[in-house]
Amino acid sequence: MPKKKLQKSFEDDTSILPGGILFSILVRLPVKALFRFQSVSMSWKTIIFDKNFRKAHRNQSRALGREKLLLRQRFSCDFVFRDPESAQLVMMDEKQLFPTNSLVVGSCDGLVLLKNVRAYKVFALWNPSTREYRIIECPYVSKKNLQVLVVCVMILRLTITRLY
Amino acid sequence: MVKLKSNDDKEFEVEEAAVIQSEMIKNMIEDGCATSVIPLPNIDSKTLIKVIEYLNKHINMGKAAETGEEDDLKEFDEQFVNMGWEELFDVIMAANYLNIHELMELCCQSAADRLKNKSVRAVREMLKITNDLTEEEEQEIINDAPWAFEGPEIDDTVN
Repeated sequence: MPKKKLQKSFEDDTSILPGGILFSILVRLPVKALFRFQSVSMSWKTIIFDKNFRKAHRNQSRALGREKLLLRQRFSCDFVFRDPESAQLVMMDEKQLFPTNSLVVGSCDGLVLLKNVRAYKVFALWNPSTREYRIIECPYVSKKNLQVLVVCVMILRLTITRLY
Repeated sequence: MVKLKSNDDKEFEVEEAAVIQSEMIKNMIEDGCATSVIPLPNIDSKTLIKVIEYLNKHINMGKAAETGEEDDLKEFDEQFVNMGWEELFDVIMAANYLNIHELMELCCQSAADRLKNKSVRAVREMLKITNDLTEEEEQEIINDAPWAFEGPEIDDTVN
């Protein structure tokens, strides 16, 4: 539940909704809406930015079994993000991505691990929902594929919680 | 039977098995505080009727899984949340006050579904929110994630 800082922002709210209820509604919104609704008011921004809110949101998305399909177009190599529940396709703008010449190594918990094909030690952990990524340099990667994969899975597990 | 009284002084009789889906009332009954009428000063009769309708339908939720009535219940839930915005908030507030977890989930999800494709302007108007961000702060949020403000699904209407 919301902590002190959040409590304050709830009290400041001029809306018809009490803060605790607003929290329960916002936590059920998709990521795109949350990015947009940060600009509704100061208290919405404070709630959505809060670490506890993000944690609650992740748990909620998991509980709802909210799944997305990440596809890659065969020739252009652009990523396409798809919600299986709606017909809508979301194209990823190249500028928002890790270098396009990358390989998908694996994914876990909504995060995708990409590997730069030109620089074998450079990886990126990418969250397609928020379109954020973090570059990770891994000095110990062997060129052998199997070992790369093992290390990748370990990196994934370790970094998942930090990115949220 | 348990008697509930709304804030406009109307009394409703509800089966105990139905009403104990409310954690609050369940605790009152267990503590022996529900001997006569339970007054609900935060809930009007119109909202209370909706809540009781829900409680009565969900009374045998455990059984529904066995008898294959789950689809029926799902259909009921879909119909149930098909109400006006203000009415939905009244039910959410009542569910929150009475601590009826499933009803709270159902109604908050419905509210979220109605909001998810709305524009920022529409949300402010629907929820009567005053924008207290400066123009610079607002622009900064837009610049951080311009993709979140674009798309054919974004709906600027208020309803």
